[in-house]
Amino acid sequence: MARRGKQPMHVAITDNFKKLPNDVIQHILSFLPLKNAAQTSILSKRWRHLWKELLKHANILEFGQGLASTLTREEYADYLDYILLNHKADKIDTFRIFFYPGLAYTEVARKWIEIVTSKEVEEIDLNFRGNPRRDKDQGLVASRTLKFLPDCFYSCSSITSLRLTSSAFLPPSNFQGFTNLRCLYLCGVNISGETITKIIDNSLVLISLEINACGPLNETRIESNLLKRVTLDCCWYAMDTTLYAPYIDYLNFVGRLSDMPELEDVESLREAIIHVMDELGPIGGENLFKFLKELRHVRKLDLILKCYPRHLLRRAPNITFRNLRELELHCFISQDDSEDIRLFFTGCRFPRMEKFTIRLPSGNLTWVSGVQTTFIHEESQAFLQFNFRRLRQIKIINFMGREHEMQVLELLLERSPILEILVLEFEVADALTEAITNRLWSMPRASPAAKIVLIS
Amino acid sequence: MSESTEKKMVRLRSSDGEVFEVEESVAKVAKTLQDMLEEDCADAVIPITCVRAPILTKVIDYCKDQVMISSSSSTTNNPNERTEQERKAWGQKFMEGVDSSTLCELLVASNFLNIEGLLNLGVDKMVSMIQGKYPQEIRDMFNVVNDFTPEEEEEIRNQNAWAFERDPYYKKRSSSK
Repeated sequence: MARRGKQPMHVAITDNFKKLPNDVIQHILSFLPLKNAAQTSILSKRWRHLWKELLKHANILEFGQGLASTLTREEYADYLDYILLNHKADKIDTFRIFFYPGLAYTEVARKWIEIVTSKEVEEIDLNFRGNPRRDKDQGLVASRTLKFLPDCFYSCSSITSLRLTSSAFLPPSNFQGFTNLRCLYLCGVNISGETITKIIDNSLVLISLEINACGPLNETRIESNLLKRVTLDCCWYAMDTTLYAPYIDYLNFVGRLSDMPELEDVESLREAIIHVMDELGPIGGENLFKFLKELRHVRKLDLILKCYPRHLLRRAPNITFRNLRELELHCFISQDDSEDIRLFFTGCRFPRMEKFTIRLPSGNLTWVSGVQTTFIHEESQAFLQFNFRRLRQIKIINFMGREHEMQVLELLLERSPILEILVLEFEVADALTEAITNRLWSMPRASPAAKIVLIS
Repeated sequence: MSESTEKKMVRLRSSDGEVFEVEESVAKVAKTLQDMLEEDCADAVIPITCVRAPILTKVIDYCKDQVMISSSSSTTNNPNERTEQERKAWGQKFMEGVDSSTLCELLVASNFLNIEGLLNLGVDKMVSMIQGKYPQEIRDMFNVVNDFTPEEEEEIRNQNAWAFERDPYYKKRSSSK
């Protein structure tokens, strides 16, 4: 009969695996990724069930986005049910799901969490956002998942890494935090500042905290001698947050000025990424300066502001960043003049800066060049008096060659005596005109040896 | 059987009838043979019914090497002793050029004779050969005959659909009508 094999029938074929006992094959399969092992189910009838033994003992159970995107919710739930109900080992190291339970699967998903928390799970990643491509009844995620996580989850002391997305974190009143928690990541989670404070206070080893679009976080007290990395990204009702972390290494804040945490004792901070989302009003500017002052020890700073609060110029902050080596500013040259950046360097000093990057706003193709506005404020005199003595590298991203951009460039080139390289990344190839190159080469340079690299 | 030699010899017969004479210490690397020898049936030729001569040669090579590196391990400064790295490199070299059918036979032999080190080498090699391969590639490599009907195969694929979808945007069941 016509077999599917390609070999002609007269060649004697012996299956290499023929004499190999099943347990040796299963031993081999146990070294393969689960997905790979499961694919062997179609090799031949003999192989059909061999891989399944693996499921019973696997201690890394990951059912992430990749899997979710290939299955309907029903199939995903059936599959997880099948695996968890057949799982024999006492221990699960890692458990990851990407699933929107909605009302229909709430009980099912609670059951899964009960099973894994009973097996001393260490890393747990629960993403209840699910797959928007497949699920039509999405939307009210947060409100529907209220009261969703079972109590045994909140008392699971084996957890060392917790990632929770699109859920509500509403622990019972006797909640004691997670003693062994090292990393906490929350995204789109309904959680109170009080609960976060409780988690931080009760963990003996927490080093990384990332809170993303969570709330209401009023009066969150983040106080820890262990924390190394903190991210507070677009949290809501986050006013009156305080951060006291003497060993902190990395801080990322994204949000409104009013939600900026009050920093205390963060001198060990090496890297900070600060993204202020609102326009800087008369009051906001003061807050910003106060905040920047606490960051004066960093080595690397990324600052994303819509504009610099120039109206506060007379009370310029006068901050010296003694350790700073790398600085990146986003959108710092506003549409029609280069004043913001001059003012910025008037108020903030970077005597050891080696690398400086400006990232201009992209997609601004309709802007008409030729409008020339040059103004040197009297207040900028302080700026005129200093050099970038250690600056070796300048990079400007989304450079368009507009007049005010050229002015900034001119300024930098004039004042950087040991500059080694200037990189200009043009957003569109058309922007790189002969006029621009000619002007570039004719600019006075404090460091004649500096290379200029144009990328379009 | 040993007259003048101090070293006791053991004879092994492969499935295709070839007889190998090896030192007892070499044979004892195989736990199965060690058990037999300790039960004192050393005089007879031991039949290794499931291992062909070329494979048995390779197995004996492995055992000899094990004896060599362990023989003087009690004394200090054993020149044959290997670091972890050297052991790895040696294992790789030992398995170099071993084709798929030889590999399977080696696995059968090391499993039957209970030689853990050799079994591990074989398993490592096997894993590296089949990892990331499509089922059809594995079939071709090891002459596995697909005894499913196309319908049966499709059914199993669907049962374990998650394992067969590589591209998340691949339309599920696009092949079946």
